[in-house]
Amino acid sequence: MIAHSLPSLIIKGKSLLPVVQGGMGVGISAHRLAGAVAREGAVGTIASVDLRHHHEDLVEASKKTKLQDELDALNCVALDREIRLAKETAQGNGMVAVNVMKAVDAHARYVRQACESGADAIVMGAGLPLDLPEMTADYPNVALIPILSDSRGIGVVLKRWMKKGRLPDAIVIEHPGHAAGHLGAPNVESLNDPKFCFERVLSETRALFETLEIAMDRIPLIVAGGINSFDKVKHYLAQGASAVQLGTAFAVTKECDAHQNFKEVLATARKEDIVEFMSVAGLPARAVMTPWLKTYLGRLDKLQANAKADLARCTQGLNCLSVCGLRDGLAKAGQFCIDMKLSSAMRGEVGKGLFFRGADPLPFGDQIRSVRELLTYMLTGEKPADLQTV
Amino acid sequence: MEQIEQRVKKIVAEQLGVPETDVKTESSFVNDLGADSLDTVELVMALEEEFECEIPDEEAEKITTVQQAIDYVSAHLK
Repeated sequence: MIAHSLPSLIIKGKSLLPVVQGGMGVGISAHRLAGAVAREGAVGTIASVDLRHHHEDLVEASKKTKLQDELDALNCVALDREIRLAKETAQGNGMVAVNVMKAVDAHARYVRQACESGADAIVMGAGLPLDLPEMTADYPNVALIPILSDSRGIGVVLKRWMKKGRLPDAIVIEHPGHAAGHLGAPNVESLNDPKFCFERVLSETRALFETLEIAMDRIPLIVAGGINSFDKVKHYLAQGASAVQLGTAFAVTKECDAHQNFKEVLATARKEDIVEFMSVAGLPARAVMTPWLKTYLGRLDKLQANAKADLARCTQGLNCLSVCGLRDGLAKAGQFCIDMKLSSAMRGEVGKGLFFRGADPLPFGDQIRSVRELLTYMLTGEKPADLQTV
Repeated sequence: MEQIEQRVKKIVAEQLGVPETDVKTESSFVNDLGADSLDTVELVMALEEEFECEIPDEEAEKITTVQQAIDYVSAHLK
């Protein structure tokens, strides 16, 4: 265990390090990363979406079908393997959580599979997780953790869940102005709306707890987005957060499941290389301006003018999203196959992939270091000896 | 019946911050009245309160127009 003096994060009675590793798909946070983080005593999160890309036999099997149901089944096999391997690595330490996006069409199936395979927690964002309590009713020991961005969303989820006699076991508050990947705002223009400011969301959520008569320490609040130093960890814990969540900083660790090229693209990106645009999921997203993204954004007007609802535009037949800008012909949303682009990035295909990244500089600059070194720095302020000037 | 329609329209206008005259029975919350996913859930919660009924999540998802809200409330009014 890493020695530190910060208060622990408590979820379901379990004492955890107050630094959480956020889920990153496709395949960026799988068993290696989530297992390594959990082994240190923290929450490691596997991103459930389309994990078959990590398993050669399942990739082969995928080539023989274009049926959504069969592809989903292969993904469930992959998810099961990843959870079991992560738990094996964790050796009973920390928590292995599984992130399932509400926007994913097969989300209920992934949630069930995660519970059956022994996940300690389900984390759900990219939509309102209103029906998560019902989906997990047979697994009361699995912690439920919604991801939301403002106090209004938190209020709606709390009120709906309380009617079902359930409360979240923690809430991740994600700032759309700093986080990576899909962002919880209606469009690019509103990413830095003051309502997303952590201090404001924390204080408004405490007021909500009071109105709804929820004990102040009952639901830990975990802030996510742009936290890249020990000072920021201390600051947000002092503001009432129980933990912080990091994504990109964990994506550039040695243990991260993605290809080395993926890590290098993220680690070496400069501020001016990081852009926001609309994803096919109808949400804004943040990524590194790599060659494919540059070409895509350059042709966006043409592609949007050409938007047309056509099932054949989902060339894999996976229908990963319930609502997809490309397949459903929604001109305002993105016009590309997100599954192909993200899995390509995971495999390190710099020219073809889409590389999601947070907006801020990373704790160790462009360095790729270990999970333990990152956790140690975020918990104690102590950098590895050779990086003390970074 | 007419009274239910008026009450539903009033709540829709209040929740979505649009003039009551813009709220037609055929209006879609998202496409015509500019609602987002949070707005529609809050709207359902306001309807539950006004009409003292329970609208389960799976039913709530199907309520996307003013008419559907009126129909649901009329069928489930205690």
